Amino acid sequence: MVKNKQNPEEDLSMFFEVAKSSPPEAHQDLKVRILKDADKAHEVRYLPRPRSWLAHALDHLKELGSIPSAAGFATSLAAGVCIGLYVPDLSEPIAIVFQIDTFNEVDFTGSFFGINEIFEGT
Amino acid sequence: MFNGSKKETDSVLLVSFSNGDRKAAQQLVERLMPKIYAHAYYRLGNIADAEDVTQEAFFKLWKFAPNWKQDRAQVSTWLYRVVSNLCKDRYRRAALEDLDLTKEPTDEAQSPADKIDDHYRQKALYGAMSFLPENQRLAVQLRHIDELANPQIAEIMGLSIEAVESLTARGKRKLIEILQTHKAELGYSDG
Repeated sequence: MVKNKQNPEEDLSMFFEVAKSSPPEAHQDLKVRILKDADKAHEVRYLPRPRSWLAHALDHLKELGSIPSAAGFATSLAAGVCIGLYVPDLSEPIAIVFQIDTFNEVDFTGSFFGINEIFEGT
Repeated sequence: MFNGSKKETDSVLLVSFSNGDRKAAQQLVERLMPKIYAHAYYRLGNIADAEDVTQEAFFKLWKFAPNWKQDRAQVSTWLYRVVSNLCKDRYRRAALEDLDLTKEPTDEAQSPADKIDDHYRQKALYGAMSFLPENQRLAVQLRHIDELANPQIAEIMGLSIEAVESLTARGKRKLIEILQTHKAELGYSDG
């Protein structure tokens, strides 16, 4: 058993010295586990990240032949969309060019290339 | 004990790890794990919890590594602080009387009687420390067992240096008192 010293401070110091001189030793497995965690953290950090839509778009742009080709493609695409959305009424300009009254001269109820007559004859 | 020159090296190692050097992690673990583990073990009183807390603290360190600023703090201080918080979470659950101090001392130069004395001293000390308030206990452990300097302890505990000195002094006084009054319960008796 421990012998009691006269000075309690010294006595306590002796207890501390004992604690310091024989620290608990960690199991070797703990070090392995900690290093595995380090590897995992590393892998997560250096794995290729999922690519954004912008990166994919830039790839497609390259396939199209870079910026000039893509610009032409985009212009024609935009024109197509505009035409699709805003169907122009060309009847007026056509009537002016051909000097015709579209409402009076075009008979939509008449025979179509004489087909009616053909049927009437039968 | 971690001194000034080591501070640089630990930080540099952590930054190296963050930049892809896996050997740096190994060096850091070899250097810091024994102290951190011992600290956790003495605070929690059992091997399994101490291992879990040590592993968790290092895991947090690996995750934090990319954001580490070399002039920020010592890696050891950061780890002690994390371990301290993790221990606080578990501390209430840990029963200190189950402290596993039954392993034989490893110093072959000691006589069997010395070994028994040391074993009882160790057990008595940690038994006595379990009677201390949490803050006093942490301050005493960091100062007198982990051998950290007061400024580093102040940083770990988020206190002023004066507060740390006061806590340590009061903790020591109380420890002496406990060791004197609970000799029989702590397996510690006069000669």
